Amino acid sequence: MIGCLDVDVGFRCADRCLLFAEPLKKKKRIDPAILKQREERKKKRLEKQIRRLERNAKQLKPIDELEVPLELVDGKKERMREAAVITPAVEEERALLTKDWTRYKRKQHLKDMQMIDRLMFAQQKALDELRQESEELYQAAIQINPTLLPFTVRGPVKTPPIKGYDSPDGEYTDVSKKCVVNNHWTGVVNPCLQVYESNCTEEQNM
Amino acid sequence: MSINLFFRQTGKPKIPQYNTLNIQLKGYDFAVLENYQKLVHKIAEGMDVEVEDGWAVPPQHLKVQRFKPESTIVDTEYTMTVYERNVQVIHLPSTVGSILFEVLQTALPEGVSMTVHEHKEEHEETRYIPDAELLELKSQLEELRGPNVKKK
Repeated sequence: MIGCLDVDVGFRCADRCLLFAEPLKKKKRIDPAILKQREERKKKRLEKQIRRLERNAKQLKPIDELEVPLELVDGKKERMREAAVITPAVEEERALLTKDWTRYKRKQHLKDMQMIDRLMFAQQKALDELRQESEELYQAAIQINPTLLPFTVRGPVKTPPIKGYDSPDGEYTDVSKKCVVNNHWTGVVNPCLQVYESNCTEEQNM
Repeated sequence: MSINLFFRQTGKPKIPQYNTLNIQLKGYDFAVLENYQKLVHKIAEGMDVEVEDGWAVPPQHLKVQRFKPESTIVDTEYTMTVYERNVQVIHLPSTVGSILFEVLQTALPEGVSMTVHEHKEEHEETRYIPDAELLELKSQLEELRGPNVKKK
């Protein structure tokens, strides 16, 4: 324990101090090479730890809509019912219905694929004709359009746009949960610890 | 469906292919969205396009506030969730790609939007929970590597 009588900066404190304990140790001059070695060792240790952590399988973020809500899990005992008895007649009717549905969906899918085949066939024919006309144009035609990606398209809307609609002012705030893994050694995982809030402009959102 | 293979043999040089592409689907109703993802996968497979992967990303919760006219008093407030699904395709020839994008666009259901972009590393990283310990160690390493070597 050392008590200082003088608060002057610049003077060595040791000159003015009352020493209650052992005399101050003199600062040893450590070789800069040894210093460097220590730093290198620390770096290597850190890098090794980083590599070890990275090797462990990373956890995927939990997806809200795919998780079973806790209320259902807790109330499982109350909600569980025995399976209903299905008579063979009902079972057969269901099987026939399923077959009808698969037949319908298969036809639908086949029509879609045939349409796509017609498109591809027509495209190929056009490209062949173009090739016969000029090789340069053909080469240019099959190149990737660099301005195409990335592109966004939206699906149709239920109602057409309302004429003369005055869009109200408002704000979109992103309140999605941000996930952080906490404890490695005990295997305890605390995903989605924090709530992350940021203000985004309307253009940034859908 | 095998017409593609037949005609590809006659063509030389080969048709240029896109890099790994992510077809990102976003929508407000995840049942419709999942169904559409299934359709995207089916159509791509039917066109002999290699579908590498398909995954979901945690939804984005938006708090929407509507203000009273000419003021910032909150009129109504509601939460909307934007769900997301992704389909990854590889080795997509440019000619097939043009048709694929058009077909997918025409098949888009109500309220679903589709974005096609190249796959980057950050897209892969957003799927995983960031490791707090790893980030800490990395920041320590950065400190050590800094110009001022601090002695403990």
